[in-house]
Amino acid sequence: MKKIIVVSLFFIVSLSMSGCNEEKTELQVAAAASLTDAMKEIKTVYEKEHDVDLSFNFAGSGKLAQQIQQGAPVDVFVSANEDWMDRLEQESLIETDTKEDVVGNELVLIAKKGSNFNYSSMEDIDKTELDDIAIGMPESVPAGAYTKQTLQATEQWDDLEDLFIYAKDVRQVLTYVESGNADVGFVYESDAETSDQVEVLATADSVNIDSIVYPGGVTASSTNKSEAEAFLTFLQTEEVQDVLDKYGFVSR
Amino acid sequence: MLQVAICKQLSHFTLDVELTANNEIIALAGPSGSGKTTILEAIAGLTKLDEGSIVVHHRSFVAKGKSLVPVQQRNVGYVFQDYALFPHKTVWENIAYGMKRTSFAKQMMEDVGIHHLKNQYPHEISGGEKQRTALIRAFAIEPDVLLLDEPFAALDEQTKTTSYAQLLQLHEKWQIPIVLVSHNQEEVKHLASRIYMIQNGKVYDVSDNT
Amino acid sequence: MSETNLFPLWLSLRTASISTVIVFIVGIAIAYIMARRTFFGKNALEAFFLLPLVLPPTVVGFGLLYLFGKNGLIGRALAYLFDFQIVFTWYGALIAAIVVSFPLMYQSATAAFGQYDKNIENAALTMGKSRWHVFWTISFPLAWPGLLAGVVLAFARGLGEFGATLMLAGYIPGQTDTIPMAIYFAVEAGDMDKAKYWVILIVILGFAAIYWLNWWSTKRMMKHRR
Repeated sequence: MKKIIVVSLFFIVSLSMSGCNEEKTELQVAAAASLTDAMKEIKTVYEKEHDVDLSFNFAGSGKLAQQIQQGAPVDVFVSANEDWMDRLEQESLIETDTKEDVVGNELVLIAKKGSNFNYSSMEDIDKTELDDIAIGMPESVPAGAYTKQTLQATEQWDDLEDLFIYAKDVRQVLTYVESGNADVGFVYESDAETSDQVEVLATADSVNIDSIVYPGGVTASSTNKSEAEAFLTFLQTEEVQDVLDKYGFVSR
Repeated sequence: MLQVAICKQLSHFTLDVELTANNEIIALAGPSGSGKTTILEAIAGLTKLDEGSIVVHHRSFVAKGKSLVPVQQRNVGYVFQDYALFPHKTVWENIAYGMKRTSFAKQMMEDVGIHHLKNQYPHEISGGEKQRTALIRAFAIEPDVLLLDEPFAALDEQTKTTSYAQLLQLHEKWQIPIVLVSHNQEEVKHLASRIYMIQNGKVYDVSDNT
Repeated sequence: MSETNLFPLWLSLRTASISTVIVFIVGIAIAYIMARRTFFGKNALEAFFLLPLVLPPTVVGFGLLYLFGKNGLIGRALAYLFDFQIVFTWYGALIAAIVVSFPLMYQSATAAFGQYDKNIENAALTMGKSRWHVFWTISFPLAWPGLLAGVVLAFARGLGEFGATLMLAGYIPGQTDTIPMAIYFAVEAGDMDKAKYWVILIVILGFAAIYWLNWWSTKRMMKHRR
């Protein structure tokens, strides 16, 4: 559905443009859903300074990667997950030399605001106080995979496993915690930032997990490679990193 | 003995009628949409009234607009316009559904000549046979009043003549008030001892004018 | 598949069957009453019944989560009265299946009860039979073909339900994973063999159910009426 909307929007835009004389370059950016709010702000800034139109397609990184595999017209891909980026690179769908880490994130433990859990680190989690813990499905949700990694490092995974409710995405984890159906949940810090009904209890210790990065790259099929690369470079600037920081990401 | 004095607000007019029938056949005539069927439904207990009373053999079905006896306990035989036979039941099952006595029902089937159809389904028999099945089904409950809503309208002339004779015969045996709704002047004159004309929600006794 | 875990099959069959039975009874009762009564707000109520048909399943799931969840109106009442939890249990899958398949049964039943002459029932009533008796001997048999169509749709919808189920029951392998959930997570995890296995199974299941019910209903219909 989202794809249809994006495609039809693209169609409408190109129709309205065909009447104009000066043709603006249009960049198709496929970005991980967690970047939605930040990217909207970045778009405004970028379009003011450059003669380029940015069109975004926000979805889960896996879905976006699959769309690129199927030949979707994408110039820039920003993934929330290195695996998918690597897979596209191996299939020569991404220009290797353009690949760059855009921003980082952190895994946090959240609870509904006003809850009485006093866990200042993951090790403090007390099983006897909890009924349900919401996590992303480790096999398909990157945040879930990191959750598994950190809890395995602290040897809590097996102990807590029977409390887990597996969600199909981070949004669902948030909903479970916001509605009080799960006592605590694991999400990225930038996700926790989007909800004013949850609070961050603890942050995963960086020694326990691989660093969480959002790699970006220009697709091999892009017809606007130089503009695409320019946009990726722009994402590295302090100006943009400050915006990302504001939305809970970890600037590089 | 049937006494009806009822008042009911319909969509375009108010039905305000009064009629009585001894153990005779009375006819209700009038244009379509004049409320004839509504009167039958009121007697049977299938529609609510605003005001009025209905008395059958000194039993009050309705008093001051309130129903005192539910439809199931009124013992009113009703032959609907399209007969409303149970399509998934045989002729015999239709008649047996509410009958009081098997022997009586079987005798009546013999009398009108539908006994041989007892294992047929309604869609397998002719219009005249359907009409007779519906009539016997209504008689089989051994009713105190019989209501007939244009029972002969769909029949050809030949069949009508037979059906008239059968109705008169049954009435003679089973002396009860019968209310016949009909458009057909000939039919009404032939069958009914009293004729009521309904117009603009009012009823007029026109027996003598014809 | 190395480990043949048949739990999702068993759970899907259980939720779809039980929800179909419940939806069948409740759907018929409500449709029968609605077809024969007029009252203020009837249309609004009818629209409400059909709402799950137009809302995206995840939205339905979201609503159910807030109703049956630990802090939800019904969820809290059940926990307080019976110490019973719906969210994150297979009952969540059952509730989701009931809610999404109800409109299909209701629609079919309403149509089924509206398609024959009402005087057929009235005739039976004048013959001294109770409404209950008339319902079982007249209304129900006459509406049966349409009701059966509703059963087929409700069962198929219950079997395929995913969005609302995932929200309300959560994904807990061995407890709440129905076939559609198993398929979804297998696809997401890139386990295509597992996904194919379940897809083939649910296709066979859905096809067999619809085929059997259709075959049965035509057979019954031939027996009765044209």
